[in-house]
Amino acid sequence: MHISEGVLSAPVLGAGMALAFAGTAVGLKKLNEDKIPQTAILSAAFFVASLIHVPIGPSSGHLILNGILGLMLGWVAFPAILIALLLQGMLFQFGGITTLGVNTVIMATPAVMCHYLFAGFIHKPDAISYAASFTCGFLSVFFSCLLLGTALMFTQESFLNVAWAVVIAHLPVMFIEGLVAIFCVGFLKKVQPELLPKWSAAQPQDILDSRTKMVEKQV
Amino acid sequence: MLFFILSSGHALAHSVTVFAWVDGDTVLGEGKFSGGKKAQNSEIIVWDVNGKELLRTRTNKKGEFSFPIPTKTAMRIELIAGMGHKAEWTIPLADIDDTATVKSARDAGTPPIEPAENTAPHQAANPSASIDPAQLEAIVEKAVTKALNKKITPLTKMVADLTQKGPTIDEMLGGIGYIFGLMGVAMYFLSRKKKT
Repeated sequence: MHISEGVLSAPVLGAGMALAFAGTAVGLKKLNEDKIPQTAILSAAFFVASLIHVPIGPSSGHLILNGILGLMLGWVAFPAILIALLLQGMLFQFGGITTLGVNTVIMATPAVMCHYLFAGFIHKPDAISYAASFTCGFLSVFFSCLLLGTALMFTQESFLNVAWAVVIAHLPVMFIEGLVAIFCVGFLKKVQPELLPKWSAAQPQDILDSRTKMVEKQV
Repeated sequence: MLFFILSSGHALAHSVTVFAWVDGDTVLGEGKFSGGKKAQNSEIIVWDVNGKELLRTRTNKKGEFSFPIPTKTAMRIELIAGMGHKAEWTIPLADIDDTATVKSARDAGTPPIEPAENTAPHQAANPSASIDPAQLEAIVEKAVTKALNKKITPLTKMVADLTQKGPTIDEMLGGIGYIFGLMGVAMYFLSRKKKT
């Protein structure tokens, strides 16, 4: 999923950098104090996830985790992924510094899309919420593959060939990411549902009120 | 479709490395993905220092490739694994210079050696016969090169493995540390903003 240095042409690299910059600016604007630790932890998870290889079928891709990252963070996924990719580039030589912008766009854009598509379903009953989480994890990788194909389209073979090959190669990763997303959402729903996005919007007003009263009592 | 499934298997992980070394008059090398998978059937392009393309070849099933040294110049070997993966390795002129001279010496020495070996029994039967110094030099040189190659080949393989090593645990922990450090910096500035 990480494009190496020297593969893409200058206009593609420039466009990637501009888009990544814009996305990061929006993300930093939306980043408030309560969200910082969560962002850092998810960024660290993303940083390490790329080292986990998935040796299923003929391929061995690696986890990306951009689905769950986007679901939890929304636009803040942009700065989180940017920092993780920068460190991966410097420490592991994954991707590269010039391709940082393009790689960020490839992985963060689907994350933001998935946030807006699926965050609303997370607090629905179990079946719907799990289905939404799985689709979120699955589709985020799928969209990343399409974006990777788009980036390579300008320098390499035709879009269909590249995108098709990348999608096929990442199919096992997509399924695993879907399962990881189900696991994360299921766990958080039981343990700390407040951490999930749009939690307060999903609660009926009286429950919210009773909860604030409880908090006040404890204080 | 099957072609895609099979051919896509090699180009997946996030980074690819290529390593090459000179052995006599050929260049040997191998390509690997992080995670240890071999870069099979990937294109290898060899450039000289001025950016002129010298030759193209492909890696085999073990991710290895080899080609005879085309000209006596420093070479830049480029591995293209598709889907945005690419790596480079440079062979400096110094490496080739040495071996190329060895090669020419060996080439010059080869014709006399063959008869020398053929006549070995006669020489053994007649030990007093003197050996031509040039012939002797060629024989010794050949033997030394052979012995050295035998000793050095495992070392070269080891160096190849070392240069293509994946991320270490320190790098991972270092990266995580950086991320949490940045979190600390962000929290610090936000808390200052709040106070003022």
